[in-house]
Amino acid sequence: MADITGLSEAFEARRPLLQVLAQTLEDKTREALQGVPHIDRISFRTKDTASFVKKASKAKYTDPFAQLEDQIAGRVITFFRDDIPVVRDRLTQWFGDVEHETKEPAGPEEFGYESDHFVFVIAEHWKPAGWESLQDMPGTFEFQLRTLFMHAWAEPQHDLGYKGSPDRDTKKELAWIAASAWGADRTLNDIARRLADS
Amino acid sequence: MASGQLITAYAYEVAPRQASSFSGGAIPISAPLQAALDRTFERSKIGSAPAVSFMVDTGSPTRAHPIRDAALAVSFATSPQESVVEQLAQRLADSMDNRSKPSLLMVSVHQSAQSHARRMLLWTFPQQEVFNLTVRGGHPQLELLEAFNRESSLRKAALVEGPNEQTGMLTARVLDFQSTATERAVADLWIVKFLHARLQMSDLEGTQLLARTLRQAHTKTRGDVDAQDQINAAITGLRVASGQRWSIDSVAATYLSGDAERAFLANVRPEERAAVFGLDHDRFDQLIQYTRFTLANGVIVSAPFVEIGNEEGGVTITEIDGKRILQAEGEIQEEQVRTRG
Repeated sequence: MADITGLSEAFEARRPLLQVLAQTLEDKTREALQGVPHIDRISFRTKDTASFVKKASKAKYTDPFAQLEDQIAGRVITFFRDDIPVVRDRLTQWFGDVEHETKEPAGPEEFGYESDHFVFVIAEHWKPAGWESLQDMPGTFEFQLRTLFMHAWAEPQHDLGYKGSPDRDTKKELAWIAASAWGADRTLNDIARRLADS
Repeated sequence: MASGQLITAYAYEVAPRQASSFSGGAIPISAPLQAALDRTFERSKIGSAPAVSFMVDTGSPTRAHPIRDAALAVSFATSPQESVVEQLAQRLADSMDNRSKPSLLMVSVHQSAQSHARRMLLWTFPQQEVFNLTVRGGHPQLELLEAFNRESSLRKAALVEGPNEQTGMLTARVLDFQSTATERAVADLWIVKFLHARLQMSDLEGTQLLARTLRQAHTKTRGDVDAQDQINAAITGLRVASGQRWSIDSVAATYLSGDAERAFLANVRPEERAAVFGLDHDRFDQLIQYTRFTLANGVIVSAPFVEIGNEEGGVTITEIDGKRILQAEGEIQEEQVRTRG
């Protein structure tokens, strides 16, 4: 059984350094995306202690401080779908990725979560003073890239907090919202393209 | 023990483009070997060498990468992994060009100060001719031998360290003593071709950091003629230097001293100063906005960091009857008459 108090105290001890690094990474992302249009927002967060302990307590994590890659996570939200490959290229050129997955529903008739997920290495020159004094500091961070409409569908899902599996009607309604967001996203992109070309 | 408690070690002779089996193998651990590796580790300062990130297969669930995979296999094995190290030897042979001499490839695995982690050191020592003098019965004999030189300026090294996890051994510290003297193409053989890695500070990040730091130093030293001359000379030197890698520290050491150096280094985080990057010349020119105009009357106008066409910068260019006319206006802060002798 995981030592909850021990995990909590150890994570609290490193959190100030993680917060400093999160700010550095946010500044670097802004610098990397300078001149790239249609960026709605760039944000970074450090995982809160309760969330870390909840995840780290799972049996599959034998060494959570080294294994958990979302201790710091960043996100960029763009206006249009066409902006995603532009931002993706700029970020991978700047940061260098070790993992990249474009998450989307499995089948063409399905609607749901969409987002680009990355894992980037934490470069030595971004680490704040004092980083090396702690054991098992993370070597990577997670990053998401999505449009406003993708985010509008994905973000409330956390808050809705399903207990068990939603009922059939709720599932259909959520799928309808996802399909509407996908449609709006695509149409807005088409409009932006036509206006840019005219 | 500077390099960490030695666990296993391997040595192979590798010739350029060698396709057949490599002579060498696992070598017995001994106190003299440990001491030799410790001395080499300390003198090379590889623990603080430039950092690179392996260019792993981002779609692979195991983050597959030839060097990383070998490092994990060799470092965490419970028995010798000669076949894995021979794959590294083959990779080294393939990355050497025919101008290279044969090399000694040494791979050693050590305990790490990090918990659950191991450390793998990779060295290549090129073969060189050495004289060996022996005197027997008063008769001297001089032989020419081939040996692998531990102090060669052509040696290369990589340090890979981490746990046996998805997050482990994704990066390395690298040394290429040859690249301090010459071209990027040389360093690329080791970092890009053999290690399949990239410098952690990208060309873009490094170039932007350098331009910003020069601009801040330029602003800070307004009125200091010597400092401004040094900064302008640094800009000119950097613009024409080709094929080199830089760090903020190496730019300061090469071009600056005194107040100029202090102003240049003042606003750079210590962690960023030693990070090595390649200069993106086009981006550097854009950021520096360095233009030098020679007018028909022999007057030379050079204006780093000044926006041409912006009245605030004091330099404007207009086109009249197909000719570009430059107008510069500003308060004289310093006047020098240069004479010969």
